[in-house]
Amino acid sequence: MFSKCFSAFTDGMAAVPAVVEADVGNGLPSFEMVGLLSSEVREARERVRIALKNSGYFFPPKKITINISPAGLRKEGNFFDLPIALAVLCAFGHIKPESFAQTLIVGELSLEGTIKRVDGILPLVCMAKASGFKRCIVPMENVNEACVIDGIEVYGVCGLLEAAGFMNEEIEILPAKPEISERFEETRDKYGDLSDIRGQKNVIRGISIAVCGMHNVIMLGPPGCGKSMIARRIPSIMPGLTFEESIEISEVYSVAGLLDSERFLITQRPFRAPHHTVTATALTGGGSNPKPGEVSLANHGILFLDELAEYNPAVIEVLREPLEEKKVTISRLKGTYTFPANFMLVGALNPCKCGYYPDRNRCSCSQREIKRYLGRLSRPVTDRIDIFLTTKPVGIDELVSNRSGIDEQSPKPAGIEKSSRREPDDISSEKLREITEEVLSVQKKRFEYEGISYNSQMTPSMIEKYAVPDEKGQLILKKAFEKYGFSARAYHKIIKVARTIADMDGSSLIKEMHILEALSYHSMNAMGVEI
Amino acid sequence: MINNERLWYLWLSSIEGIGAVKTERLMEAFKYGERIYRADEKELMEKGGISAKDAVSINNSSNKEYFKKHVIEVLRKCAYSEAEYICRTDDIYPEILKNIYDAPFGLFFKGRLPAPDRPSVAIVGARECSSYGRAAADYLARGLAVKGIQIISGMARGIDSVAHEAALNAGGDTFAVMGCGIDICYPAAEIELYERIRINGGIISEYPPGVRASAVSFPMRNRIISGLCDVVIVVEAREKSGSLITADLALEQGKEVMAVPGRITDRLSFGCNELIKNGAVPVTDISDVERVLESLITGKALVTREMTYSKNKANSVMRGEREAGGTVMSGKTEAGETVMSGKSEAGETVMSGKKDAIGTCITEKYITGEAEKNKSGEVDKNKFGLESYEKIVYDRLCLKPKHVEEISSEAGIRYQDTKSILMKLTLYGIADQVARDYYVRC
Ligand SMILES: [Zn+2]
Repeated sequence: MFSKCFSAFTDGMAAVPAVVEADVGNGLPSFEMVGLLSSEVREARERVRIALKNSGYFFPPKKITINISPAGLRKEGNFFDLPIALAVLCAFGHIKPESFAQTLIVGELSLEGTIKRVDGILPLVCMAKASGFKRCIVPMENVNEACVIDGIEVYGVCGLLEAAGFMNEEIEILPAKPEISERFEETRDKYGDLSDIRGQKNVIRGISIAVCGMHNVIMLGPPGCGKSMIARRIPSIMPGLTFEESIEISEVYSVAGLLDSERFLITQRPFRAPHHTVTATALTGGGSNPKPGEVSLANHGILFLDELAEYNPAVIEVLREPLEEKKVTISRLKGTYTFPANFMLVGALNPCKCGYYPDRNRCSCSQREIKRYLGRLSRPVTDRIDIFLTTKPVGIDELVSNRSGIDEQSPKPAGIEKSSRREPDDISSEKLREITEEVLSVQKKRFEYEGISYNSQMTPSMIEKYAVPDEKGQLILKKAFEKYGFSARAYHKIIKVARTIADMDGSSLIKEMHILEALSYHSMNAMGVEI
Repeated sequence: MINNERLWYLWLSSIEGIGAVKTERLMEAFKYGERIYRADEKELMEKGGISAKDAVSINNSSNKEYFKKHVIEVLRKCAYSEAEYICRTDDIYPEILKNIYDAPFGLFFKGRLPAPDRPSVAIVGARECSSYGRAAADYLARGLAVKGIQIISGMARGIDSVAHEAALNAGGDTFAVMGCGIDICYPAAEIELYERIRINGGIISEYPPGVRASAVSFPMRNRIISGLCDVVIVVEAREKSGSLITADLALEQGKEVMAVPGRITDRLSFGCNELIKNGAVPVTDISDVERVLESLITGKALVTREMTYSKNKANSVMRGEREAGGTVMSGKTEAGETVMSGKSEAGETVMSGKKDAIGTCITEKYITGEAEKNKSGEVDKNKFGLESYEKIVYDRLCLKPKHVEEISSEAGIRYQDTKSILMKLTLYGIADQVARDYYVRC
């Protein structure tokens, strides 16, 4: 007898529907599986046979053939154990064939007949909903992860008998209901607050600009001055995730196998900080069955590379594509895989090998050593960094700390104040996040028909359209170019940052002061001596 | 055609163990180099008053092969690398150098030698210097070079290079005394600077072409640096560093030593502060150096390059201070107000004098910048514009690098606005960013 049921598998980030067919016929007793299967799928044969036996099903000596289509695509993963077992049971007449209609089934079997979790359930359920399936049967361990998708019924099953019983409507299982809103509530205030950082006004201002336009940023400073403390708090000034973003992120984590029944939906902005011993594959993803790497796990969030100069230059080099394309493409013989990689790069770096330059009381590195140390940053990556920041040495901080009170009452330059609506001295994360949200919405509106969302993504032609400095601004820009001889790329970087600063200032025009501040974050020579 | 006598000096000085002092003694005794060449050991010892060991080594070198290798070959290399060789008997040998103990008998040089009728100042300091040291060296070398004072240093990394470079950038003359062969650029990465110095001044060394730098050659070189100048300025020096050796040598040679004071906590300033404690003149200003030069030099014209009026200004600065000093002295017996007014007057004179003398080119630069703006149709003469704030920010700047945050809180201007204004001042060349977010006035 013949039967068929529906399943699916992941191919990179893409979910692909599959049909599992089973045929039981006369002939020499055997269990054959066809359909371009990888060895892990092929091994399902033993698991299914023994799981069926251990679940108490009688297995008459017949010729059993399993086919998984589409035959043209190589199938990987552990998705097919449960659909194969159910299809076989159906072919033997233990399950009614009608019950398979509009039902997507995935799951791995253990030998004793229990059902174990699979990776990448989220994209599968998304695909199922999009393809018009009515319900999904998934391992109980995956059910939380799977049920966040609205508009499709998700049933979690623990064992083979339970699954068969459910198909025959002998056992009643309620569709799982998500508790997402709670999740989103919980994650607020988990990042820490930027107001915890003392005396690094410069860095925080720069970070705020970076977040507002999603500019990549590098922080330069001695060890222990709070670079990573600041980095870890960056998500706190980014707007909360929308549900769609959350699903997008969770899909990647699902495919990477990083979700479980406790943590089934990513509701926090990702903050990934791979150690400097990370391999290129771990960073961008890969493997024979490609899995997302750190850059994809940082999608919609922060990729923080501490001690940037310590990374293998070849590893840093692979960041080029994701920084440019906002995605990672991995080519394999069997096809091309694409993972999202829309992250903000935050790098931290000591100014020299010992870390204390320009504090000559502690640093005795020669100018050449310093140059060489900073020179380890690969050009293609520094080219994609819009903002360079330097932390302030702590010693000097102490000297001026008793004056910090002055700022509050200090007069603001008129003319400047007129256009700026906000109090910049307040650096609590909440205030900064409000600014970010506003500036991001301005950009969203601006780029509505351009297919981008941030100032940092502007192409040269968009820059000409949306980011033209006023007359004074152009003059000062010209002056800077005469003095420093910038490249065209540098020009675009400066203008993009100036656009963001102007947006933060609520100014539709890019004025002289916006250009000037943008110039101060630009750096060829990271120590800023030649700016 | 090369002066015959030079050959013999070159030959003598190439012999191991025969330094400048012995060479001089021998030449005095024998009058002609060739007589030394032909003299036997006994004669050398008796007449020249040298040890038997030295006499033997001279005799061992009195042969054609040695002469060819150490004299003819060296001169050939000199010609090849466009270097010249002179010795003490030559007219152009710097008079100032002759007076020092152990003065080199011969000198190799490329380009020129320091002009004897103009003052020379040596600027030396640490290789691994701080941004403060850099800024100070740059400021001093630039300011002095503009006034036609020749800047002498050792072309080492750090302070030395900054001083050379600043002098060149100001269009002045600068001279590098090398601790290695005249044809070797050490450090090799500074070849561009080496060439610029050769063209706008000179490279000087007592070592013949091909001699590598050694641990001994640098202290030896230092005595020539101090010997060639009128004043030595030490910019940054750690305790017991090479720059302090130069200062010691300078004192022995009777030169004035000046030092740039630093913070007491900075190790790089320990040496300088120690020098000041021991009597070196602290330098915080170009006019400090001018004052010392003026007191030292009577024969040399202090100002040669710049318009004469700046000399007058400089004089008026000094007069102003002298006056002030006088008033204060007399003020002791008179009312305190007089003291105050006297001081402030003098202070103003000093300030304005300095500004005029040093700041002329700078303000001109700024003004032309403004003029450009006006030409291009800039009509925004908004009285609430940035301009007045630029002045406030500029007034907060000094020679010591200050962090933007510090300037911002002192000036009472929003952080990011201060940053923008400083950037603008930098673009117009009246402020400088010496390290990231640290600014000085130019
Ligand atoms: Zn160091």
